[in-house]
Amino acid sequence: MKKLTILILSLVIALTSCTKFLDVQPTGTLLDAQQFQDIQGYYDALYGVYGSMASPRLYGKELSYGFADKIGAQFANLNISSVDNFIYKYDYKNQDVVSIIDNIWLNQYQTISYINNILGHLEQPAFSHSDLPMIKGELLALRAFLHFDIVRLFTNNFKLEPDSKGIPYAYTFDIKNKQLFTLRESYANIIKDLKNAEELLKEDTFVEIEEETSDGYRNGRAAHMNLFAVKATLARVYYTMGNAEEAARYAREVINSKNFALTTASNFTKVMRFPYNNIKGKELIFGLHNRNIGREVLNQFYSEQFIERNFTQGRKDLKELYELNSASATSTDVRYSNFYIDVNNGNLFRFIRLVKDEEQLKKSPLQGLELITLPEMYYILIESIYDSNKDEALNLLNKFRLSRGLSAIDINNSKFNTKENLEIELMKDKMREFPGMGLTFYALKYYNRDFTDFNNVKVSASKEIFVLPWPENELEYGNR
Amino acid sequence: MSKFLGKLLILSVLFILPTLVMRADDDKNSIIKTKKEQGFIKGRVLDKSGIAIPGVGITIKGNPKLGYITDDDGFFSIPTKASHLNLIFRALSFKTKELKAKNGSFNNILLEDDQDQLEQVVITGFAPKSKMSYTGSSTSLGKSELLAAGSRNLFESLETSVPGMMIVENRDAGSNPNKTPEITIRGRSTFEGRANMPVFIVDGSEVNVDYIYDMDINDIENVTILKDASASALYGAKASAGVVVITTKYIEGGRLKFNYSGTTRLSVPDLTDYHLLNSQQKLEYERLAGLYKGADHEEQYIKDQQYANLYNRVATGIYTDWLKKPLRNGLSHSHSISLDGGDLRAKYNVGLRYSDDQGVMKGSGRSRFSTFFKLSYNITGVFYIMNTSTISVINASESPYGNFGDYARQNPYENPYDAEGKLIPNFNNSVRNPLYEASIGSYDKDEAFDFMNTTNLQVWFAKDFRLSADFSISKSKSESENFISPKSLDMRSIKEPTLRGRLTNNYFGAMSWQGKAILSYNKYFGKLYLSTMAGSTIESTKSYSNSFASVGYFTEKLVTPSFSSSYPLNSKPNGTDATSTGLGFFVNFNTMYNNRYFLDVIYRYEGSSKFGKNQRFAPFWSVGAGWNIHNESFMKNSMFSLLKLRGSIGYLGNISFDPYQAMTTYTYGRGLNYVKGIGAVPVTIGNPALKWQRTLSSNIGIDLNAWHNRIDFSIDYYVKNTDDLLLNVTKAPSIGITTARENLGAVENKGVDLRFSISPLRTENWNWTISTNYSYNINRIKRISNSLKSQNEKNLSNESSVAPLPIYEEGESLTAIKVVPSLGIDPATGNEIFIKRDGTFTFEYDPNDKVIFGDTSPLAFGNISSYLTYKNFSINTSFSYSLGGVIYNTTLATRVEGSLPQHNADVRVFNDRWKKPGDIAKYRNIADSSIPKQSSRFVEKNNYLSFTNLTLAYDLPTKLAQRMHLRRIRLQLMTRNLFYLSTVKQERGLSYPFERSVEFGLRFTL
Repeated sequence: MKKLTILILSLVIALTSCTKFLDVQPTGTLLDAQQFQDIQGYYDALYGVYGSMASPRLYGKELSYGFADKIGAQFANLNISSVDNFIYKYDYKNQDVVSIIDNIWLNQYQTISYINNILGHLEQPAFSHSDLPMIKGELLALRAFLHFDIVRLFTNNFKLEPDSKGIPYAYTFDIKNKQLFTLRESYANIIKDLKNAEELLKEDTFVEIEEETSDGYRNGRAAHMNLFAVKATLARVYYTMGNAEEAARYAREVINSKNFALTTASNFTKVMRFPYNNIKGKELIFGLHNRNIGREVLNQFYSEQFIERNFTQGRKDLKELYELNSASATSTDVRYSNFYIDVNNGNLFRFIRLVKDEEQLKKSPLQGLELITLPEMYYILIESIYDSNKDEALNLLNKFRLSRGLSAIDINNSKFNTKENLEIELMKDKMREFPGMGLTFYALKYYNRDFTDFNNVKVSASKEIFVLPWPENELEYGNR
Repeated sequence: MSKFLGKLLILSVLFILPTLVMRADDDKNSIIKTKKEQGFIKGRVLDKSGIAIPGVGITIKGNPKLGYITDDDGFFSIPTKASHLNLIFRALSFKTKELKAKNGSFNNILLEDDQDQLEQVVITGFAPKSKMSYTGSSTSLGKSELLAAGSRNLFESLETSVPGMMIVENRDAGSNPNKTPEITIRGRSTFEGRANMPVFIVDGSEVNVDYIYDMDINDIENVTILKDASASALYGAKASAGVVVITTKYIEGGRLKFNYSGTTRLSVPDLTDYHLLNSQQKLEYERLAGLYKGADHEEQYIKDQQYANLYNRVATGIYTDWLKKPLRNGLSHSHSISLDGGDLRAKYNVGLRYSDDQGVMKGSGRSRFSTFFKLSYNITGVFYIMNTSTISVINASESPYGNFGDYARQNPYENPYDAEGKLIPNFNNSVRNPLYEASIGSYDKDEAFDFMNTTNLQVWFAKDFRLSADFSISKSKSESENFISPKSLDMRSIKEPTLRGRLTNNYFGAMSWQGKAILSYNKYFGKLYLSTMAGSTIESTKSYSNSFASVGYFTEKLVTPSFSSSYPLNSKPNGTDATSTGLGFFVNFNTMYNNRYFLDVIYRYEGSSKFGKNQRFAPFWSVGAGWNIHNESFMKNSMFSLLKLRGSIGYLGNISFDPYQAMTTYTYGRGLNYVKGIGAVPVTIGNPALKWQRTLSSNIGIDLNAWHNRIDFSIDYYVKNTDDLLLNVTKAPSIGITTARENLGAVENKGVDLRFSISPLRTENWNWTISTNYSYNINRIKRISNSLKSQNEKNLSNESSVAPLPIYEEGESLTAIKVVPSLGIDPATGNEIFIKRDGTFTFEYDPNDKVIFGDTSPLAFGNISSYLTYKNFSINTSFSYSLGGVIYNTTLATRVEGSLPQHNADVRVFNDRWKKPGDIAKYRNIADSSIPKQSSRFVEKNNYLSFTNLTLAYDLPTKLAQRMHLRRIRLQLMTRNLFYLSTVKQERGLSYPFERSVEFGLRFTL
């Protein structure tokens, strides 16, 4: 009997100390707590966030040259089987379109959840390291950046209805519903995160893309949410809110930085895409690495035969947009010839900015995407100081025009004489500058005017077009 | 330890000698000797029919170290100096007998058949439990019952004999030898198919269902199916769907024996449910369906020409019987040989087996080769050890003829060959010629290699106190190859020859080990019998898979990766791996008072690596009680040799989620490279509160046995409530995920199982037993999650699905069919008339009008079999039946209506579809080829009777066998699936036909 009791007791003891035996992980996976035991774990999780943003589901396609540019009236594929037929008509009820929109919402918030988990660990890090504050800064800014794009897509125009429904703002990594804020509160949350980030990143002053990417976290900062990317985002946010003063302040800080400068017209090719092989300018403020998207881009924009319905084409009115009729030896928009090729006598245009052809794919493949570039800061500054300092605004505009191969204009030019004309001109220039970057939709929404779609058909500004429908599951299961 | 080993070695070398010595002593011809011989006790052991029993173990009471065995003819001779010896005679399947024998005497010992020998204990895979005090519900099958039902795989044998066990008929996969069946015991209790499968245990170690599917039935001694809590609580976390415990052959020992068992089987495809159109009918159907109507004059002219061409072709009498093209009569055979022998202490058993299963589609088959080696050493009451090693190699190949459904769609007026006799790649309308696809060298095959070693050990510390331990280790590797020939039509769209042809290689491997240690103590305290058991289990499994594809094969004759041109564009190799471990501790008390009242309590505490830190361990328990009414004084002279009332209640579990769902886990495997480093992201948001899914299972039952086993009856009523069902809950996407796994949802299963057998005839020469089993199960969803509710909405409005999709509603069954009631076909228009919820009639279909029209679960399901023996002949028949279930006849929905006129269809298309106004037809307008709406027209009663098995067997009389120098020889002829009668006329065997077979078997022992 005694033997029995001893045996049973020892079994019980053995059992409880054997719980380690039950801690197993398949290869390539790490439990949450183990992941954040060292700085490399933080780096890897951060790269996971960037990698997720750079995937084709988000900024690697849909939020750049894909869906965002299609609702931004830049491209469409008229093939009968293509969903573009519904997208360019703003038919947000079509099943396939709904699916794309739902995925954008989901993937964006999924990336935000990754950020929140790392931030959760940063509240109480297991060790100390000089990079941790910078990592925290990047993450806070990224969180704001991602929420901001959701705001720009799925809510009303702030200038018109600042107290309408905002978005769920996610601060935690768990399966509980996220709190819904009003539009004003959502913007406030975004700005708060950005300002905290600005403070944490104050040492991050040198921004560029490296030629040979090294392992250094502090190198190649243009592919990170660096200090100036934060300032640029703040400029964007204030601009969208209609706060000209703050928008101008931040835009100026970026423009005046030694890191950035407008290119010259003859060197335009250096800035038109994400840098490759030391072909780089100084216009990139924030971009994302992705070496795998070239093929996808080529599939979309290239075809054996460039006829209607075979490929994704550009706007039909490009010749008018780039004012080719009034082009001269001293004033030709360099962007036209670098971004497009006319394949059918002014009726059909092919987009070549990102990837031109198979040969280019092999020799100088696309290495990533540009998210924030210097021209946008110029646009924000020009518009924001127009009312207070017309002359400086004109100087800035002409400086920008020069860098694009265009001649200067005077203060009475119809493009500049009134605020409304300026806005119309800047909208046109954004259409000229931003194909492939997914930014024109936001501009169209901001100005809230009627516009023409890629096919030259007039589209009336309305909330049905400018506000994307929320996913059904969000409304139902989020109790919205 | 080394002493034992030494003895073992000597014994295994010298075991032959004692038997030879004994044989030399005796005079075989005289039956009774009365001459007194000093110094020896001699005798002969016989069974009740006077046949000698070799290999009977004889021990001397009080002196367990000495032992003897009888020789081939049952004789024994024990030297002694004492005047008397108390001898104990032990043999398998015979009752142990004690005898006090005088020195110098010759004794005839008659051993009684113990039909219940194997049933005196219930084999649970842990330690055998006495049947007298066993409170659980279980069904046990011995070797002869298994072999009588066939040798193809274990599941077919089990289904005929175990009430409550159902093999889910796979109408699609038919008799494909490479498809493992899906089985359920006592109904579905989860929403996902595979989680309902019971746990399989072989010789104490858990194995997966594929291992059982490939096992040699000849190897199996006993199969016990444990169905309720009392039976399976020892398996705790995995047992809620039942446990199947398999014990392989006991080693008999004795003189060296050679056993052979072989079968040859002829399988014939069963096409009785296919009735397709012939050439004339097909052309006419096409015409009536409007295939030759043009939109304008120009198109009409072209179509008229097409029709004329076909008409002339059909007039020449062309008819291609496509169904027969990919089929053959499969000839399969299997052989097992084994050697066993040994003495009282050391025994061994070595075996080899090869079987080749040829399916009825050309080129499909599964061959199995295995070898095993068992060695055991036993000192009765002190020490026992047995080690079994098994190695098996399985080769599986799928038919290059592809999916049988392709052939059922082909048009009978097409000739697969051109004028020169070569195969045409495709017909008009880009319809591929499946015979061409089969001839170009594509293939799909698999090879698996398995090694398993199990060691069982028992040590007696005292008479009633014992330690038993098991340890097993298994390693398996398999590789599968799938090749699509460059000549295939699928490859036509690829222009570059360096990208055509594709070979995919998949590699799998797994390594697992498990161990168990149990201490048990039994004692009689007067009339109270107490048996206790305590122990622990441990297990670990690691598995991995890797796969890659290669393209650019110029010819189908050279297919290995070295002949490829490159990897496919933009693709990379893939792989996965998984690890899991488990640990458990259990205690079992069983007491019985006066052989009448008994109580059984089991408690198990178990942990697994699959659970989050918060829920790592969980308890499982069961309590059972019973009453042996037949042992009561008032039942003393009744006809009942067994009348037992028993009941049990307990908590069982079901592990069915992945570890990363409970604990947030980072993975590097998502391909999110960010140039500076590899990105890691969480697999999903972990839910640390995830709990084990548990089933509360209650069972009451009666077992009775009357008139000396003439009537054997057992009935159980059970209720199983599964709580904390793991379900995917839809989440608002702003959380970052679409669904999360949570414990929500509850399902209840209630039912009755019964088994009844009666022996109306039992004389010296005749023996006839009829047995039947019956089961009935209903289930109810008690609670479901919101994501299932939203899935319901999707399924409800999914009109493009052929058969109604399940709609899970609280209070309803998991298997109910919901359709819109239909009034039939309107003779004026050929359209269907539906009945709305308010009773009005309409042509418009609205899924919201759906009501329950029956349940696929039958009211009665089971088996009837008869076993008749006359002297050495026996005939066994068995039928399986199902009554009261309904089914949605998808043949009608896809091959009568909803059929595309470009493809061939069921003959009812031609005869019973509406063609012109005034026709009273069963089916819609022949010109309408849209998928029919899910209405009650296609819901049919699914009552069937299937003649599953007819076996004739003959055991040669011993004398005849001995003349051939054999001990036993048995011939067997068996047929399977001779007919299948059903109220539903639907096609069965859609991707692979069903088969009927005739099998001839031979078994003998040297």
